[in-house]
Amino acid sequence: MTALWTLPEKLIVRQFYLQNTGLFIVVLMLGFGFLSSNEHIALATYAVHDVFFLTGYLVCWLLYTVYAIRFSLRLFQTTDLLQLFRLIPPVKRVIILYLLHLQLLAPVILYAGFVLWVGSRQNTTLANGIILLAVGIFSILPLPFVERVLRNPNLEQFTGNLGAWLRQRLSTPYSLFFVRYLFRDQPATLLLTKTGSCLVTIGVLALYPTDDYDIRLLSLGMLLSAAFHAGIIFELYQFEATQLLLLRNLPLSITRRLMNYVGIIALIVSPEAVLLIYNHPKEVSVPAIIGVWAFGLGLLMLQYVTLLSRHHDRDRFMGRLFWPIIACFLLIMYRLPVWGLAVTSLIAASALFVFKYYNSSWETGETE
Amino acid sequence: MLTIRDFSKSYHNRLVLAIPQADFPPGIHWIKGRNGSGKTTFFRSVAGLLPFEGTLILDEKYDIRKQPVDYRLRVNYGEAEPVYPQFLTAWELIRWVAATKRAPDQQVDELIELFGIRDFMKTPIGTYSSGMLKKTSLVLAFLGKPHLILLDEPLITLDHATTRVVIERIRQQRQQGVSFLLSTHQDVDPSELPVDSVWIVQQQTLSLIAQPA
Repeated sequence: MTALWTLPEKLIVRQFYLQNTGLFIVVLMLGFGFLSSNEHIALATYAVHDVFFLTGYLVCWLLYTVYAIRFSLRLFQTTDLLQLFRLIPPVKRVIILYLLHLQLLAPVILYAGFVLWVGSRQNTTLANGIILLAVGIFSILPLPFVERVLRNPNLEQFTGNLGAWLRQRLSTPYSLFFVRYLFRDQPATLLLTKTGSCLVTIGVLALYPTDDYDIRLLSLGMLLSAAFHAGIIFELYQFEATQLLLLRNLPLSITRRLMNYVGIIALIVSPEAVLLIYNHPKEVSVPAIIGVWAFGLGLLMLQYVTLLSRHHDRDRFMGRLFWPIIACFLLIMYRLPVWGLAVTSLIAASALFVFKYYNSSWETGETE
Repeated sequence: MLTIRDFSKSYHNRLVLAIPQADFPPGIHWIKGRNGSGKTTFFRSVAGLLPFEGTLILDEKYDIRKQPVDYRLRVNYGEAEPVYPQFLTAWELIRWVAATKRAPDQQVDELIELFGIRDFMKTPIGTYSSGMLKKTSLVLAFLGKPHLILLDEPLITLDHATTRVVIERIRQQRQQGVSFLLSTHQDVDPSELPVDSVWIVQQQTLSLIAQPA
């Protein structure tokens, strides 16, 4: 049994958590950064007493389940080795697949367990029953889909008539390669990052008129937004180093390369620019609000050149952001002008880029 | 053609390759070495994909550090096992690389026909077989007006007909003054592909082992 378990566990479960680290970090920041444990208990208590609110939880869990199933199916479709599952006797195969997918659904099961614990303390039999039933269904949901893929290997993928029509006529410019990658391979990370960042931006814009705030509040909001984007910046670094290595062989000047990255990152944070410009407080001028956004752009460029300066894996990179964020927080609170911060961060990022780009590499220690 | 001085490449402070001095004259040079000896690291360094210590100068004029754009305009690279974004099409990659390498339009068409990729070049790379992927990487490697083309295992995963096309293309390009550094584990008939020198990567360095008169 161990032999049958080890390889799929490494191929499916570990890969799932490794490839979605960014997603989980954003979820943790959103779910446990803003909300305290008491607030989680309060929300769960409300949910077990209100079926509609509970439905919201179930929809979130279902979305996660669908996301996990989609990941698993893609692996089964593209990894020939996993087709060997068909050779395992059916009962044993179903048990192994069930346990493997249970691990993918661990976050949902753990949080559902927490809500169930709250429900048991509140003696809400109906809600508890619904949660148990839903989690039970979610846990067996992957099985028929995986079985279908195993029985129908190498299905021809239908990519859609519109997609095929567009591919025949249009060509993606380099500046959109990464954005396409995000939409195709990291949609959950993209959605959660942008939702979190835009909510923070809307939040500070709504908070501004309620008291005697100044532009520092908007700068702090942008600092938080930039922190939310760390996962996406790492994805950009990883994408270019692992899938677009030929970029470094192309005859592009260092200035052109720098402007390409500024363009890509500016595109990623363009929704925040739209929110800030169209909803800025009357007391804050348009140039000042653009300065706030440029400060965010500079912070993201600094994140990117940090990775060029020295290769880090995702966890170490995230960990290293803590002290720079504290430093930026203090600079903002000391009333340094936002345009000064923006220009300084952009100049520092540009200088580091020029000095470090050609000396940087994705270091895995491999020799071929 | 290619001058190498005091070259060294390390991963995590572990020396992988050290080449005090090597001079490649114009021609076709075969780089041998067992798996894991550092051939790909050498190719990637020469192509400008990996940082390294030392000096690389092309045609006694283009230093990889001092003239990074001019150097890269003249040095092309075909990967042994190319990896490209799966959602892109070969056509999108070719257009992008052709524009940066300043390849004439007719050359793009000619290479597409030569390697027979027209039928699938507008479908996503994720749907390609290893042979289709290799053909795409070879088209990219021949784009522009390179002085040096690095081909890491150019014949693996290719069918017999395409292997012949690659060898013939290398011969033609050589006659037009393009030099090649090749690595291949497959035997190459000297009558088909005249190799000017044979080098070996072993014991963390590159040495010349044969140079026909």
